[in-house]
Amino acid sequence: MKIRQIARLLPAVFLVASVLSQAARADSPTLTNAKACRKVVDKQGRNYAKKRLKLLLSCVDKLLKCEILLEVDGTNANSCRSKAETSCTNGIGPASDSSLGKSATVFDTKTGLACLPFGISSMMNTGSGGLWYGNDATCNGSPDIPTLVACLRGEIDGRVDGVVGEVKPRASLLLDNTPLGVNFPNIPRPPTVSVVISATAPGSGVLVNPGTVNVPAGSALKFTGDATTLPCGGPGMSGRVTITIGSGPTAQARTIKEPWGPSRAALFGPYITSGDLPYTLDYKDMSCNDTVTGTVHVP
Amino acid sequence: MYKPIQMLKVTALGALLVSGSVAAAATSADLLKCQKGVESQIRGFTGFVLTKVQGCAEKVVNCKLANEIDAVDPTSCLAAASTACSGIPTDVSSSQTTRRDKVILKCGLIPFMELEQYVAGLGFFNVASACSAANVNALMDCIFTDSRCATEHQVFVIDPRAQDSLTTAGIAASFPCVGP
Repeated sequence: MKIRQIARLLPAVFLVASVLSQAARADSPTLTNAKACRKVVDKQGRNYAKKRLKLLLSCVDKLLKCEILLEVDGTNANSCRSKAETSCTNGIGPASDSSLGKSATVFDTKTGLACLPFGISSMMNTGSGGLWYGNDATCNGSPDIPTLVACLRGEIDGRVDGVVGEVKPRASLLLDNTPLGVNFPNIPRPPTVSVVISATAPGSGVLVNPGTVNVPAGSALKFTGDATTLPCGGPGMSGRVTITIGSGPTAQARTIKEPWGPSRAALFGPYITSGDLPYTLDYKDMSCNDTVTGTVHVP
Repeated sequence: MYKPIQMLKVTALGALLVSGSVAAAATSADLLKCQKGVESQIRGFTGFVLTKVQGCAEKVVNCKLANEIDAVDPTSCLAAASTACSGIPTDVSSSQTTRRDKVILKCGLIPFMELEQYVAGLGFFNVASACSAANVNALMDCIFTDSRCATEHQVFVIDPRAQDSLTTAGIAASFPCVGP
């Protein structure tokens, strides 16, 4: 064989030798388990974070579209809001079979299973051969893998929701105007001025006029109903107050319904331009019926 | 060579960057298009950051774990990992710039006030105030920088060894938010 032919074969020989060498020092079971756990946490963590971001932004996009069309074009938002809320509930609702719930389950299950052979103490180990989760001040007290995995997911949630608030700053108010907002406490909220709508006495049916409501620039306005004075008697929970701010076709209107209280709120704004906006509170419950008007003042 | 449409885009971007020009009130379609652009580019960018930074950290940690658990000499493994990681800071920065510019093209003709206001706007008032952004370019810089930082922190939550891995690879300074 000529030298040139031998030279051509050398790379192949080295490759075979390298493969044989790798095979000869196969990973120990502990290393295999460590790598498997590490790899699945990485992959599932990334998938979950991306999915959560996509689902939240998609939901907020739908809610935002309804408001923009109302505020700019004067398009009635009721049907749009209803459809968006249904879509959002399917996507990011608290049920385990919502898209977000399923993603969380996939993360928990796949990560938990992949890390089980490595074990919680090895995952927590902050020294040689460990995965250092003991350095995580939030999750280092987790007694077992399912708890640790759920805790890590909670941390991911916080960071992703922060990005949602940055990208869509109206997200928190849009979600808080649906029952879904309470599930996303990490989306940044603007400062809020609260107004509790009440009647002069229980069952009187006469609203107390809040008068001029001062809202600092950059703050939102939140209306809730007073559970003590607003109920008008009789069976059922049919009471409602429709709050309208602004005038003409682009006025913002939202309705809060019984049962009254802090969990049923209508949020407006935030307002950033100095000026006055008219508002109307329209109250209906059985025989009770009253309307008051006032001004939202932004200094 | 630029295609005509690309040249138009570049020209438009240049005009925006130079003048920060403001046009008439935005339509609902303009606002929704801008918002969609921000969302789409941020999602793409944060996904890119996650994949790239995690990928580097995983290469390094695998070398280190093999050394710590099986006493395998990490020298060649770490050298290969560091080489693979070395281009990531540039890749991420380029992606950030490219994607930010795409958003500016979609949002740049909307009056800044309408990007800031909540009612009949996109509500960036508090975001802009927090980072003293006075025009769309500065605002988008803020949004991309903040989102990148939040994503880098996610990498650390998922892999608490990531900071150490990036330090070993020599690129930790480019990703300061990978940490507690």
